[in-house]
Amino acid sequence: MTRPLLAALDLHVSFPHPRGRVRALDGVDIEIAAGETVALVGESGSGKSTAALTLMGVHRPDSGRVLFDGQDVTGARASALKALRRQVQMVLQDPYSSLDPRWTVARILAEPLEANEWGSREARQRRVAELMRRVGLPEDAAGRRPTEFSGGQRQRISIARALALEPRLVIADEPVSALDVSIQAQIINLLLDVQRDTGVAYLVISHDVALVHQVADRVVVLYLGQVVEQGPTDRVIRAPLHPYTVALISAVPELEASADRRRIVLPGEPPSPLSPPSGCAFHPRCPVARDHCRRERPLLSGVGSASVACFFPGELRPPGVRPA
Amino acid sequence: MVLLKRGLPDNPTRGKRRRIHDPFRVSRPPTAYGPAAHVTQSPSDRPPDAYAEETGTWASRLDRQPIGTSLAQSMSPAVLELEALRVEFPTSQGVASVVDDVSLFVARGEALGMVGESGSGKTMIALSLLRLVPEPGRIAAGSIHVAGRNLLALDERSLNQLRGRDVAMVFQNPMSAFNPVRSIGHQLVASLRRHGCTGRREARSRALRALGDVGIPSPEERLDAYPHQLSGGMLQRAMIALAMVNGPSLLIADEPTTALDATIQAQILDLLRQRLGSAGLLLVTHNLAVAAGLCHRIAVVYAGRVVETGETAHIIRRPRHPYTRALLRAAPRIDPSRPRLESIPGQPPGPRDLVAGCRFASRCERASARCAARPRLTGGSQHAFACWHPVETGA
Repeated sequence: MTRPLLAALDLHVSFPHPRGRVRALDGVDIEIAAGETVALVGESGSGKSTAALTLMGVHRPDSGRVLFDGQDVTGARASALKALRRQVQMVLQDPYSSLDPRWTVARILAEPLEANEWGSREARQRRVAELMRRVGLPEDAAGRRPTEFSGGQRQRISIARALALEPRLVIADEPVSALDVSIQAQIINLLLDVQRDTGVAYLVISHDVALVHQVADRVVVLYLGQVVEQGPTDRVIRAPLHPYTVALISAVPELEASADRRRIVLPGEPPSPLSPPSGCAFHPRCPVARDHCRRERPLLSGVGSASVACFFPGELRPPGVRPA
Repeated sequence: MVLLKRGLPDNPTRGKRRRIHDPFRVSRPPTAYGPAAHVTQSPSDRPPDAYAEETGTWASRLDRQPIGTSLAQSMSPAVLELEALRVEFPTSQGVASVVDDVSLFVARGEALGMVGESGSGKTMIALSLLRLVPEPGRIAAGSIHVAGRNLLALDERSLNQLRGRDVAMVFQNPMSAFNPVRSIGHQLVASLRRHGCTGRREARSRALRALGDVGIPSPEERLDAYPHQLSGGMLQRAMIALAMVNGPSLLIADEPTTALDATIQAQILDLLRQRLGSAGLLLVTHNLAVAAGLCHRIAVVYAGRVVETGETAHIIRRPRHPYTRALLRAAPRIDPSRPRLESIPGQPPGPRDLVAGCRFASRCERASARCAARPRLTGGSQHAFACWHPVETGA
């Protein structure tokens, strides 16, 4: 494999808490190649947003490294971080709270250019107009403020802002979950079109397995701060091996559930990262856990093109699939 | 269309502590989307909110009937009949009918999914059913019957007796729906005692059982817990316990799983399916797939109007309204071929842009001059749609 655009190696991130430390990430590896879309899937508390912010250099990991283009940017100084952020931009979930309501769209889009002393004043103006066209905002939007726009239009502004500096990687944290279904498709298609034209790589953070299947080349499934399964999207979503992945996919409501498709409904809830369970973090909810799983933590190991952290991979089968 | 006089009492038992149990007092003619006939039944002699040990369900005051009975065979009386409802809000450009001529029907034991985007008026419809439309909005026309009682003719006092007893609601965010400074048990007991369960000890034991029924582990401890001490999923279970504790005829669930994680969503949908018993469910959601998984029938709402309604399989497999079909094609799904999502151009109209004609026309690829006139909902109880240029079946 060629050198990845971004690599996170054995990231550990924890936060202080009155009752000890919360282990948000517990040895996470993520690799993103240039031009590829990787999805980070997990429930709330799984550490997916912490992972994104650590990659952006917002959180400093306790241990582990972040390499961008082969260069170690872990704990980089402010000046180096600024250079990193030209290349790595973010689109946030809530287009209502992530845009300054008092700024015009033109000013919002010009800000990253100005902060990075990009081109001349005229060049910046041209760039802003180009960005607005690129994301499908009307020309008269430049002088208007975010409050005059709907959620979908605001998310277009967010995307335009993230694209302003021609980054090589855009981290999109739940980019469409705040939008209506009819608007979601517009934004997803926009992200895919931009990627086709510019070759930007995406790290999409989402809890929506169907969305992830639509956009991602590879999927990384997080549970309680650990990667439980990762691999090519088709493999992970159509033939999941980790019981948690199986259950997560089974939980996706489908329009036409076939008669033999019984849903696996996991008991209980994700445990607190303050006191993670012994052994495999998933064992208290796992339908196929044994004693071994309670004692020892399974390591991520390769199975074909994917890897999975489970002592009994493939034992829990997706409903409707008969055992071989 | 009936213009309303608010506060007109129609309840002869008003003021008495014991309610007279006669949910089917009003026998009404069938609606276009209702069952073929309504059956007037004698009041059940079952005690109001009987807990059936053998099945582990709370029977509502209507006789129990297994969920899954199809509309046609059930002939069951309506727990909800909504006819020609109009809700108006004043705007700077005149009055906007954010809910316009909406008729819905829910039989007992039946789940109806009301699907729409934000601003479609679906939450306003749900709030109307508790007569909780916020000011300055008002119910301008229509009639609402819950378990046979005319909701719009009730005075405030009878209305409060009805809320939480005959009609209960599960909200999207349980954290803001519970009182944060009262324990879960306190709130359950308060609801029970308000609606006729006078004994403190009995109320407590019923509250305990209600928490156990929704799958809350160690309910004794959770009874004295405060809302912030429970996780989102647990609190939503408690919310369902609170809603079901008085055995309502109609349960309204407004996006009950939207704020929850995927695996917890599946738990809550399962729970709703199990606990429903003979109550009718109105599930309000933006997610067609969630509605399809739980509901017998679906009503698709767009810009304050029902554009298509019918049995779930018809809506999902053979949508006739272009909007329904577009919604189905816009949602990402796990499909190996990964077709490009078909997006719907533009966005839903705001309250100031509501036109008299078809409100979807401006976004519709099939629109013509004819769409300036309003298409009426036509069809039978299996499937009805409001469109001049419906999608051909089999398309």
